[in-house]
Amino acid sequence: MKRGAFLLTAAVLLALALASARARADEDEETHGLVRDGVAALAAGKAAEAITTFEALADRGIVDANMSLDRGLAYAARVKLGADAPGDLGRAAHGFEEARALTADPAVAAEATRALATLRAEVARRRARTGEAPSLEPGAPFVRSVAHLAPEGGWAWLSLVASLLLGVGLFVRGLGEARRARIGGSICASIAAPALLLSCALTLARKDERVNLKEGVVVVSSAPLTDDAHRPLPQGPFVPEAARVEIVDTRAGWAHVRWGALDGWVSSSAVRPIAPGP
Amino acid sequence: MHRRVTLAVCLVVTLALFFVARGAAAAPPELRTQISADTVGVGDVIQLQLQAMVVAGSPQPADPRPGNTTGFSLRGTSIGSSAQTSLQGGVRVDKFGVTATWNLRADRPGTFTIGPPTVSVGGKRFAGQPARIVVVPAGQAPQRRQGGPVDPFDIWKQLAGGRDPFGDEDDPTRTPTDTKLTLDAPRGQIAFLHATIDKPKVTVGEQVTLSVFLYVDRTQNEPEFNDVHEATAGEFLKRSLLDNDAQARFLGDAMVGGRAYHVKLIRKSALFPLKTGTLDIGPMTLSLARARGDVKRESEPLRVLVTEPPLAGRPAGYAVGDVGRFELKTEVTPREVERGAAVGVTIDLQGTGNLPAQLAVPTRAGVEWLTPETREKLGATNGTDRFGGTRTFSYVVRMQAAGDVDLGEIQLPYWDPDARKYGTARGRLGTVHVTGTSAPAAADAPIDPLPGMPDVRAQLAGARPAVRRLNDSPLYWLGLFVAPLAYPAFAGARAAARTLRTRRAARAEDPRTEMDARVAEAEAKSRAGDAKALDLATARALDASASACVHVSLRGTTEGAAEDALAKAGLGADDARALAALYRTCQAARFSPEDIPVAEAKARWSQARALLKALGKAPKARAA
Repeated sequence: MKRGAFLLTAAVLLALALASARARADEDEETHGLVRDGVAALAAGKAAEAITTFEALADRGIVDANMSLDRGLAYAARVKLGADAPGDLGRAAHGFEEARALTADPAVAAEATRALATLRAEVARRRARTGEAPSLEPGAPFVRSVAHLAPEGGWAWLSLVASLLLGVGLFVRGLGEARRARIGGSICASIAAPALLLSCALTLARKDERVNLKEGVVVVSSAPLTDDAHRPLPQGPFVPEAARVEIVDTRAGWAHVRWGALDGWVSSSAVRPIAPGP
Repeated sequence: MHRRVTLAVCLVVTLALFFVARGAAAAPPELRTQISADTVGVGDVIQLQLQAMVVAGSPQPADPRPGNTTGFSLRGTSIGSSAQTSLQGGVRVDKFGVTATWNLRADRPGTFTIGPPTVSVGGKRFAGQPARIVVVPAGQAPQRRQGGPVDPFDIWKQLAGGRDPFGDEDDPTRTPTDTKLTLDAPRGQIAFLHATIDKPKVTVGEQVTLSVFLYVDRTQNEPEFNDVHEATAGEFLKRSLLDNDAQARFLGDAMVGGRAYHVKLIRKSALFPLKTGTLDIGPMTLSLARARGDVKRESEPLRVLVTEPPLAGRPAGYAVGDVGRFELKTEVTPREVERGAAVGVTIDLQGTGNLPAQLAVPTRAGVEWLTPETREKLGATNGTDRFGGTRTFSYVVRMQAAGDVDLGEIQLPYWDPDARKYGTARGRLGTVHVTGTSAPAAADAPIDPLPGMPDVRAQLAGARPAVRRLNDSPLYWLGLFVAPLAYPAFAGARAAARTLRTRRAARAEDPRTEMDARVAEAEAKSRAGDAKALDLATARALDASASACVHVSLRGTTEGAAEDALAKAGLGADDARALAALYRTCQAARFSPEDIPVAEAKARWSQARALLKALGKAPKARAA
């Protein structure tokens, strides 16, 4: 009796495992089918179909650098065909920004960066044509600019080296017999100590940015800024299409964004968040 | 000179501000004019309604006026605020405004043009549509629909000489017939509002039907109302299911809390949720005019739980919110054109539900779709509560490439909440034969606005391996501070060891240390019972104590000299004498050839202990 129950349980578990594996295989097949369809549509110049397919992939939760790049290309293709809908340049920029954030391939990152430059130049050209300020690069805050002089790992290693130099300098200064050695130790420690503090702070700043910073791209022709009560700000400032903004907070249909010196709320449909990298 | 320049600058700035403000104010509002009847009898009251809406952030409409009212007398005005949300190109657009209703009483027969009603926006006045009304002698006007009075509140009915349109005020005991309208308790005296929704749980874009009923106590005269505010539903797209919101529909009588009420349907709206979550529908409010006490009446606030349609089986291109049941009909004319000419593409989107405001058109090289013109005929379908109808998109499509050009197919995936499955409405556009040369002239070749785009990636990149960063490990942060802290730790330890050694040496040289040792030795000997050893220990304890406390050595001195020295050191004369004598006695006893009784030795140790206490209190000892 006991053996029978055990066999039955094992059979049920096996059936469930097989069903789960089958479902996953079906899902993978569906995903690859969509990729094939999207790539084929893009190659055939059917931009709208390609957009539909790549957006369907995104809706399924597929976060992939190549697919983000292709999605950007699909929107760019629609712009090239002259059939662009409002916000297509922004959506293309979003695809390229996301590809750049997700990829481990430097070639993809470089191509996405070049494509972004072209897209933003086109947005700037269109803005200039309508008499608006063409600038799309508001400049990052000072601390972030300094932190971006080196990668996070670079600052971490610099901190480690500065730490070792500080330790050695202190020992030489404290235990050295010769006067020259003690002076050398003092100089070494006094240089290493501020270097350690600075590199530590920048390491933490880069880590905080990696962990907490949420960014998005404006995917409408222009996103007017509102205050906390969602009333239009005085002077009517707006964030232009394709601009990369910091998403500070989100609240029922609204996103609090920061773009250079501008700070305010925009409709959440105006900003598409960039999927974070690993 | 300076003053003149300042004046000129101020003038220029003022003018600039004036023109900017004028430009902002010039944005026209959306105006909608409605009249409750076009043929009325003398003495009848009609309602002229003007709704003025502007997008959020624009100057608000204000000061509505009815315009020309020749042949009518104004019997009352109600002005309420309105809010409307819609989706345009996937972007939510909020509109705000006012709805003004004027009650006009026909004074004499004839044909009159009333209005146009106007409203002021940003200092500029905008006009709605005028209305042509035929006034016939009293009693000859065509009968209106059930519900009698055209205004939901019919506030001037009594003044117009009318009684209740349902004609049963005189029979308050009449049995109510509609149990569906029955409520447990009234929500206010004389009249109150009651709101219901047909579904508490829907998907994004699925219709929720909101009904607002007015209950009026049958034994009371029809009250007048003012300060009407619509039910707020900011997170929904709101569409009316009634032909005329200003026209109430009598539904029947109902018992509420043991009293009979007339029940009218005053609002029926299709609400389409715009997002997921628990969404609120605010109450509709109004006030009883010419009443005492609490005159405000409001319907119940309501909540709807909104979810997304399932991901499983979701077709590519489905836009969240496209919910209903749709069909597409297409027409392309002509089917043959010259290169550079255009064809007309008409797409009829029909069905029930939240009909999308735009369609995704198939893009092809050499085919340019211009922005479509849109017409719509939407409302309650076939007398049901389902919102729907037809939205027609008329495109002009320029054909830039020669040959047989396949325009492709229009697809609209949707979620059918009744069948609980996805469907796709399709409209095949077919092929257009474009005559002329295939290659466009070099001068006509369009300039590529986005040159140098990357190549298409045909494969998924795959999951990017997780990057293990040096500073993610807590060991890194520990190690980071080990090196700088190593030297301070080392120096501190070295200083601590040095201090310990110094203290130990000082302690070893202290005579009190020896005194304590001798006293402890004597105590031990006292317990052991060896009389000579005890006397020796007693003598040593006395000597060590005198040396430590008053710096007097008892060894090698005579008894008298010791006594003098102790006395000089501050010990009492008796104690000095006794201590010197006891020391000599102990020395004598230890060298005595005879056995000494232990009890005597112990007695001497007891005496010595008392003297040691006295030594401790000596001035020199206290100073030490």
